[in-house]
Amino acid sequence: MLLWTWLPAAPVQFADITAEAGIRFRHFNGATGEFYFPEIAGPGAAFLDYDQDGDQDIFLVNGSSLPEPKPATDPNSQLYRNDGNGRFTEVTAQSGIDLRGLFGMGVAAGDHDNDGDPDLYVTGYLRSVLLVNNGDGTFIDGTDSAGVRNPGRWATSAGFFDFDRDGLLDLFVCNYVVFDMEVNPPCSGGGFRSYCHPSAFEGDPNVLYRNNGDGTFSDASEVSGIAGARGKSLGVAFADYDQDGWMDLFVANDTVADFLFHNQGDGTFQEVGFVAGVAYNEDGHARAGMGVDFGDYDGDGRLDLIVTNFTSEGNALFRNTGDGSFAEVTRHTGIRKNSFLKVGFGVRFFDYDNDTDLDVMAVNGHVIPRIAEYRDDTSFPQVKLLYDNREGKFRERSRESGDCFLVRDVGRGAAFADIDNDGDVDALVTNNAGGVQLLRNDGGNRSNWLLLKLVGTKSNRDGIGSRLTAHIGDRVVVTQVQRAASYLSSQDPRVHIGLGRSSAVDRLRVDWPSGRTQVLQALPANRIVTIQEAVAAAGSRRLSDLPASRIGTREETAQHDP
Amino acid sequence: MGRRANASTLVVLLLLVVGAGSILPGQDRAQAQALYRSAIASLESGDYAGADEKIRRMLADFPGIPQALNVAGIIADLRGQPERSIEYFERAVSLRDDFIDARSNLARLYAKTDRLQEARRQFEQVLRWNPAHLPSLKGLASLLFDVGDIEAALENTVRALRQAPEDPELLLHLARTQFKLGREAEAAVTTRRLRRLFVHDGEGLHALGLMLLDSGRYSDAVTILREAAERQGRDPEIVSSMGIGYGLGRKVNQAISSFRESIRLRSRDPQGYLHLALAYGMQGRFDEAAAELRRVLELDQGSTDAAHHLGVSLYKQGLETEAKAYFEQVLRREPDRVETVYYQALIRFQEGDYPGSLSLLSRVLDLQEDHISAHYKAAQVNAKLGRRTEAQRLFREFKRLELQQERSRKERFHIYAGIGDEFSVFGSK
Repeated sequence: MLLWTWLPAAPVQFADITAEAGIRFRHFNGATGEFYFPEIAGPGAAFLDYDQDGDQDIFLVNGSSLPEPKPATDPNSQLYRNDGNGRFTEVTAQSGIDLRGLFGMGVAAGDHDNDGDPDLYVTGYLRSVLLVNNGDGTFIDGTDSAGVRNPGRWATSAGFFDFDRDGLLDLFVCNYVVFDMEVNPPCSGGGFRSYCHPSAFEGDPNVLYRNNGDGTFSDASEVSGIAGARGKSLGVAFADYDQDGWMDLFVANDTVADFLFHNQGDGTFQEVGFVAGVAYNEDGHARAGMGVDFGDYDGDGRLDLIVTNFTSEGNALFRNTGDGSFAEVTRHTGIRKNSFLKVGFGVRFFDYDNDTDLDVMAVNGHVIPRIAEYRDDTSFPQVKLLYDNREGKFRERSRESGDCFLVRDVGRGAAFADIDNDGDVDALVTNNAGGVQLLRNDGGNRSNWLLLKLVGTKSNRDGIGSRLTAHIGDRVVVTQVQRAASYLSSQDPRVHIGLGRSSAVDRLRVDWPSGRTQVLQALPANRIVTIQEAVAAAGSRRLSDLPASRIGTREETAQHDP
Repeated sequence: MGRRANASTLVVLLLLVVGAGSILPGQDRAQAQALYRSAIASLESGDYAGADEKIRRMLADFPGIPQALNVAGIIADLRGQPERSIEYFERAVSLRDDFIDARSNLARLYAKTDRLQEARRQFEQVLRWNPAHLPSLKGLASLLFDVGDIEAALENTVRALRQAPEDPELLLHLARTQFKLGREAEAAVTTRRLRRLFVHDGEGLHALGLMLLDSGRYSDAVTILREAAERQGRDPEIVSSMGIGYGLGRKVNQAISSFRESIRLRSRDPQGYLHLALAYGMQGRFDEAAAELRRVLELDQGSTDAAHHLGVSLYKQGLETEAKAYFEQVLRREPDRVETVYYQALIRFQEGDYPGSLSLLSRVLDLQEDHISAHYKAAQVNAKLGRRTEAQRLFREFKRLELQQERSRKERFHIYAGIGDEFSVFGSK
C-alpha cells in the first residue's frame, strides 16, 4: 500500500561538508578591476564517476588571468576522487588534467567514445577543451583531434546528447556573446564601474557537434539549423518534451528570447520557443535566462521546464501541456516565492525528500558587485533557495533545511548527485570568485528510494535520453537520463527515484534512445540497480528475488535474459 | 507648487477687489463690493464653497462684470470644476477682449484640460499685448515643456526670469528644462541656487525635491526631500514624496519605510496605502500589495487605480477569478483603461477562451496601437486558434516593436550605463 504523501517527522537537512570532505577549491575569476565580462559568469562543476568505482567524483572548473592567461601561475581546474568514506582526494595532477591558462566556464560530462568511462568537455572563453578519459584515472586533451575547440568564442553551458539516435553522444555548446577584451567597454552601474549589460554585445550562435564515431566530431550547427538562431545562451537542458522519440533542447538566453529547439528527426531542429510559449514571459518580454532543467513536477508523465532568471523576473515554471506547448504556471505554483529579488543561476528538479515528487533547488548571486550600494533590497552574494513540492505547489523551505541556506554567496553552478550512495540526492554549488559548497542530504533517505544506472549497448553507453516510467502503486513517475542541466554543470547520470513509503517499484519501463523498450518488474527499494540495455526483444524480470547484501548501498545488475 | 500658486492667485484677487465695483452704478456698487469682499474672505479662509456661493449670487445680480467672472473662474478652478471655470473665463474675455488676466487664466485652464493648442493661442495673444505678462510667460513656458518643445520653453522661462529673476517657480522650471535638455552643469547651478533660496523654506524644498523627481534625479531628490522633512516636521506629503524618490531610485526598502511613516502620520490618506502597495509590487510581494490596496478601497471605494492594481496583484498571485472582479469594476468606470483591458485578455487566455481573449486584445490595440504585449499575446492566441498567417503577421509586428523599444532604450540611456547611474548635483559619489 502506498503512502507517498507521508510526511517525515523532521525536515530533511543539508549539511555543508566541504571542508571535512577535503575540498579546497577556490574559483579564480581573474578580476583586476577592468571588469572583463567573462569574470562574472563562472564557474561550473561536474559529477562523474571518472574511475568507475561506483561513486560520483567531482570536477571543478577554474578561470585564469585576464586579459593574458598566465599558465605558469594561474590555478588549475580540479578533479576530486570520491574515496567512498565521505572524503574526496584531489587527483588533478595524477589525472594529467592541466587547464591552466584556460578561462574555463562550464563542463559537460559524457562517454562520447562509448568506452565505459566519462569524458569531459570544459567550456571556456576563447576556447574549450575535450578531456578524453583514458580509463586508467588519467585524461588526455583530445580537443583538436576531435575538432571541438570552438575557437574565439565564449562558450558557457554544454551537454552531450544523442540527437540523431545513432548511439553516439553528440555535443551541444552554448555560446554567449561576442566579447573582445581589447574593446572592453567602460560600463557602469549606480555610478560605479561595473560589468556591462548584455545588450552592449552581440549574441553568438550556438554550436552542435555531431559525433562521427571515430573520436572526431563534425560541426553540424548550420546543417541542423541550430546556428540560425542567434541568442545569448547561458543554459541548456535536453528532453524529448513532445515524446516523439527525438531529443529536443531548451536554451536559456540572457535578455533575449529563450530557444526551444524541436528535433525534427531528420538531423535538423526547428526553433519553436514562441509557438511553444517558452520564449518570453506572458507579456512578451524576454527574460535574462540562466539555468534550466526539465522534469515532471506535476506527475502527469510530461516533462516540464524550469528556468532561473534575473531580479524582478524570478524563477519561471512551464507546465508541459502535452500538445507540443507549455503553459507558464509560475504564478500558480509558488516557485517564484523569494526569487523575485535574486539573480538565479543553477537550478535542478530533484526529489530531495524521496516523497516521489520533484522539488527544486536554485542557486543565486548577483552580477553587479556593488549592487547593494544603490539598491537596498538585493545584494551581490545571495542565499540559495529550496522548494518543496506538495502536489504541484511549491513551498520555499530553505530556512528550515540547514544553515547552508542562510549563507550568502555569489552562486553560479549547481550539480546534484548521491555522493554517498545512501539514497538521497546531495548538492554541489559553485560560487564566483569563491569556494564551493558540498551539501550532504541528511534525512532524505528516511523515505525509500531507488537509484538506477543505465548502460546502453545499442544506445549511447550513458543511456542519455532514456525515458523511465516507474509505477509505484497508483503513482507513475516519469523521468529521463540527463547529465546536462542547471547552469554550466553536469549531473549524476544515475536516475534517482524517491519512493516514499513504498517498498518497491512495481514496474519500470525503460525506453532507450535506440528505440528498444525494456520492462522490469518488482524492483525492491533502497538499492542501486544497473540496467543494461537488452540486446534482444523486450521481456521482464523480477529483481525482488535477488538477495540484499547491504541496504542503502547495494548495487544490482538487471539485464534481460537473452 | 499648488499652494504657492493659490497664494499668488489670492494676491491677484485682492487687487481686483478695488476695481470690481468701479464700473457699477453708484447704488449697486456697495452691494457688489460687499459680496465681492465676502467671497474673497471665504476664499482666503479656504472656504471655496462659500466663496463660490457668494460670487454666484453677485453674478446673478450683475452678470456682466468681467472681473467678477474672472474671480468666479478662479474659484471654480479651485473647486476642481475646470469646465465651469473655463466658461466663466470665456465669458469674461468675451465681455472685455483685452482683459489680460482673464485671458491668461483661460489659457491656463485650457492647458490644464489638455486643450493645448487653444491654450497656446491664448497665451500668445496675451503676450502680444503685454510681452512682460509674467503668468502668461510662465504658463506658456510650462505648456511648451509639456508638448515637448523644450528649447522654446527654455526661451520663455528665461524671458520670464528677466521680469522676476528670483521667482522660485520660474527657477524651478528653468532647472527642469535644463535637465530635460541635458544641460546638466547649468541645471546643477540652478538647483544649487534653489537650494540656497529655500534653505529655510520646507515647502520650497519640497517643490525642489519634486522637480528633481520629475527630472529623474532620484537620489538628489531624496537628499532635498529629507531636508524638507526636517524643516516641515515630517510632513506626511513630504515623507510620501521621499518614498517616491526612494522607490524610483531603487531603494525600495527605504521607500516602504517612508510610505509606512506617511501612513502613520496620516492614516486616512488612501494615497499612502497605494504607494506602499506599489512598492511591495516592485519587490514581487503581491500578497502584501493586495492587502494595502484593499485598504485604499476601504477609504476610497471609487479609486480605479487601486482596483486596477489590486486586480494585478491578485493576478500575479494566480488568483484570476478574484482579479477579474476588480478589473470588471475598473472597466465599468473607465472602459478605455488599456492595461485593465489587457489583463482581462490575459485572464480569458488562461481560461482557454481564445476568441474572447482575442477580442479584448484587439480592443487594446485599437486603444494603443503600439502595445507590444498585446501584439505578442494576440500572435499567441491566433496561433492557438490555428490562424497561422495572422499569428505570423502579429509576431512580426511584435518583433518590430521589440526592436524599436530596444533602440529607444539605448537612445534614452547610454548603452553602457546601468541602473542607478546618475550624477549628483550636490557632489560626486
